Amino acid sequence: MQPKLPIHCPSCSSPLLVTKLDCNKCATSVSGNFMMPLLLQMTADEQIFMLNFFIFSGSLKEMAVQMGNSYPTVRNKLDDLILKIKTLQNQIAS
Amino acid sequence: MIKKITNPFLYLSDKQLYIVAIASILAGMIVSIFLDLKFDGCLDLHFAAKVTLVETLRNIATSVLTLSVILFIAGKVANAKTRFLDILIVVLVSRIALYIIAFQNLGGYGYAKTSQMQALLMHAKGNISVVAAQLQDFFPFLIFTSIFSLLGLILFLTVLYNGYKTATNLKSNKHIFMFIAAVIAAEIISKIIFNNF
Repeated sequence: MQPKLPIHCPSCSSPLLVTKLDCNKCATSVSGNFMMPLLLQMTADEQIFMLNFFIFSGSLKEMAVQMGNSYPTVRNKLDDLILKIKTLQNQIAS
Repeated sequence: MIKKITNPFLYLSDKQLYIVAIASILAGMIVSIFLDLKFDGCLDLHFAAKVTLVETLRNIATSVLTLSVILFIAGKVANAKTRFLDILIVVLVSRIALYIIAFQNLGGYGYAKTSQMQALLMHAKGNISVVAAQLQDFFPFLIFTSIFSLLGLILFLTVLYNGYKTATNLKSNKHIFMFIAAVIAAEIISKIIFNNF
């Protein structure tokens, strides 16, 4: 089973930072404080939704058919996701 | 299960919703003609002696379209991406709750009871003690019909609100108040249309 990448602190819910990166081949380690890339700050469901949006060439109608949801339900998910990304972008910029 | 009944728009696909909406139109016509029910307003239904097919078509079309258009305008203000088709489906699906209320007039029972009560009130000419004594016989009917109608109306408004919320991605309180105002406005406008045309 592929373990889930945690993006929020389980204790205080703040966004987690990457502090160490290891190379599996030569065992080199890089330490620091790195922000998670924007797309990795999304939940697993949101990432799957974005991936589907890309696969279906941005057709919400086709996505709705594939997901078995109504068109407005899928459109609302996209609108909420856009809002979340804009908020995160503003947080990163400030 | 309750969530699926009160908010089918989150669980059903477009195709399934279209089928339910078409079934709602047919159910409305069947109920109106065979149970003699007049839908003369967006939130109204009345027992009648006889309802014709033309009356039924006119009543349902006017009620559905008035509510859909007014809610669509309110929805467009709340969210520019709102589609008329989604609102129309919401209105049609939510009206199924109203058609359930109609079963009170099975065999003309509801109309007969209300006609008897009206005749009694006319005959009593304001003599409250006489009316009160005679109306006691109607209490079981009045209690049953009130509870049944109220539950149906609550279900109708719940499904309508949930559907509207999904169709417009409703979030702010301001837009919730606009929804309430739109429903009241649609009822008033539909009444004006029914009384004048």
